[in-house]
Amino acid sequence: MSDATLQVLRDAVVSAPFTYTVPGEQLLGLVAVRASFDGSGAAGAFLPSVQIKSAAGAVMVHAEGTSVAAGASADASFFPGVKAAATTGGSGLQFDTYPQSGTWFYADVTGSGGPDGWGFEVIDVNDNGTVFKGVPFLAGDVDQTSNGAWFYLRSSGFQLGITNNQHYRLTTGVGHIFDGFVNFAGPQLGFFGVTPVVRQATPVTLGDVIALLQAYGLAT
Amino acid sequence: MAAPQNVSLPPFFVLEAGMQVVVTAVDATTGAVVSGVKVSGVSIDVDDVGEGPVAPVVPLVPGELPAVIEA
Repeated sequence: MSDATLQVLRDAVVSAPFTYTVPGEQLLGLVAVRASFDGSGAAGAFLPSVQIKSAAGAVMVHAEGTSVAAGASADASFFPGVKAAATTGGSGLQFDTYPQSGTWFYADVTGSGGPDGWGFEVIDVNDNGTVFKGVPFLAGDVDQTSNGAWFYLRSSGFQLGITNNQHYRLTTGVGHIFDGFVNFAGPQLGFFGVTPVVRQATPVTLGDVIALLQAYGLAT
Repeated sequence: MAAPQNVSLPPFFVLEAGMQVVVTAVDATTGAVVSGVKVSGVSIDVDDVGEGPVAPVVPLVPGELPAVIEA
């Protein structure tokens, strides 16, 4: 028994595939395979590959390299112990990697038929919470619903921009707490109980105060 | 210029008589051989780890193509 490494060499240019059949009654430990791949006449992109087939022709091992474009060439070495190259800055989103920074991020969704009927969703599964749901502002209402006990928006300043003479409201399941609108006689503000308590234009007039007192039964 | 690539093979893989080492170029999606790719400079390095039950080892001479190689 010998442990010398032998080489089977074939320098000639042949069309892929090149096949070497183990002759006789040999037992050979495969150490490495090396080949040059010339893709100048390739019909398309290809992966340099080595297959090991059983005597019956079944593929036992299939090792393939990285894609080589049609027209390009590669010198490929196949040997045990090659580690996959570390990822150095992927072009797409990657899990468990931060920060993922760039000049811009563009996500193109083609409809509102996501898993929950939304076009774009970010869900925190462990906390059972919705981070973000978004759809284009179409003709219908857009409802951002929190499934938690509270929904917070906190900032040093806060502004809601409203167009087209619509209300802005704070509401509960039984009625509005706060209702503001601009489409009548200037800016107005209403505070509501079960029924409207006061709906007041700005500035407050003496008549407005009297109406408020009357609403509470404090004046006639 | 040919770009270098290193690809992993399984360790301690023993080739028995009749088994084949196929150097080829395949399509990434279909796995089919891509036509028009030329292969050259093939080198298959092996260790003689034993003899079969019948015939002795056929020596492989570096730089020469053994007669049993199927081109």
